[in-house]
Amino acid sequence: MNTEFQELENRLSAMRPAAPDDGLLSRLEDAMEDRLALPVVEDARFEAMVRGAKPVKVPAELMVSLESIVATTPFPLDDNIVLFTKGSAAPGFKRRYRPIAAAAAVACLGAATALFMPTSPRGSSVVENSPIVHGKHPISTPGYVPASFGRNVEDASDEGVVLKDGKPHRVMKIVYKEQGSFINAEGKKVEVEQPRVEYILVPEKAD
Amino acid sequence: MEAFSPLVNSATDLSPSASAWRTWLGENAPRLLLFARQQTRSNEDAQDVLQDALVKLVEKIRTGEFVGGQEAWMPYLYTAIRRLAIDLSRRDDRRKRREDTVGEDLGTEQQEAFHPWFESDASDDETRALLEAGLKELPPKFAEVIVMKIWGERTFAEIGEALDISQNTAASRYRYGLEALKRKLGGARRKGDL
Repeated sequence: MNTEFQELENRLSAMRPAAPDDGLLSRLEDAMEDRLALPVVEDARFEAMVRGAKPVKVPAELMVSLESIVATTPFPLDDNIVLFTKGSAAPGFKRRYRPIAAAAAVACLGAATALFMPTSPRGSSVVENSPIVHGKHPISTPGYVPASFGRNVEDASDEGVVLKDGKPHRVMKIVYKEQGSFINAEGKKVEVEQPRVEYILVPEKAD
Repeated sequence: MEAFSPLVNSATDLSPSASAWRTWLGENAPRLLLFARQQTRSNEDAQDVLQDALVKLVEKIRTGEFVGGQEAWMPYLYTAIRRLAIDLSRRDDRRKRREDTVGEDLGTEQQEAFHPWFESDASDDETRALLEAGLKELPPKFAEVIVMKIWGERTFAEIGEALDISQNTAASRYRYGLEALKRKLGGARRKGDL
């Protein structure tokens, strides 16, 4: 038994491993010289020919199904901006409190001062959609001073969820109607009424 | 909200979001489906896997768990498709052990003939068919790298990450796979098939 085993061992040890093929050697050399990921000139033509084959289009019924999967998810353009869906909702996101009430409260706090602030961008997390005012605004007309103002919340809606700094925030759309009156030294009174839309980000709790 | 206006909504009944998703899917879904086809055993499985992967992505976007911007979606989807295909394959293997599947493989092959991987172009249909056959015959670990690199337009680093291999291994598999594919097509050419 030992003799047979010895004979087999001798035969096996007499065998020599096959030499690696040229392709493998070439790849090993390229790997050692850190050139493996670089395009190979000889393969470029073949690669271009292969690339010419275009994947089949997605069947219509599958496309419908894929679109239904994403239908209620706002399409994010970047970290801060999303495109809203028609329903302006993000189902499947569990609410733990009433974000509309919270947003309205935040909005009301700022309402008293907002009317007399300049209409330049505010640079905060609040996205403002101020109406475009043509011509000279009465507020900036010399000689007129504020006499009264009012601001009513006309509508508040949930516009879905966006990501800001990697954290989910619910976007609340608040539509106001601002009313103000201004009076000059001659007793002339000017009344102004303008709509204002504000988008407010409310931090959303996530599981 | 001027930031939204550059995206033209071609279909008036679509919301800006739906329109953007449609554009994105139109561009990327064929690539993902091709990868899913390469990873699964049938056209139906590929479609299921693609849908499941998209559901996973959308859930992560909704809940704010997704790390990265839009550029990270495709790498995520490639990884998800691969994992889902592996899971599906394991389930199928278990089921097949329980069932009598005589003739099933033949049926699958016949079905696949009706679901080509690539667009048919009458002028070069033979090349396409041979290329597709060559790709299917390649060991999957080479074919998946070729599919991700050429049609998915992924970098070797991204491919390596998705497949859990090093960048060099991904590049090496790509080179080997391409050489093997070239030999297959060269053989067909010599035989007069091409």
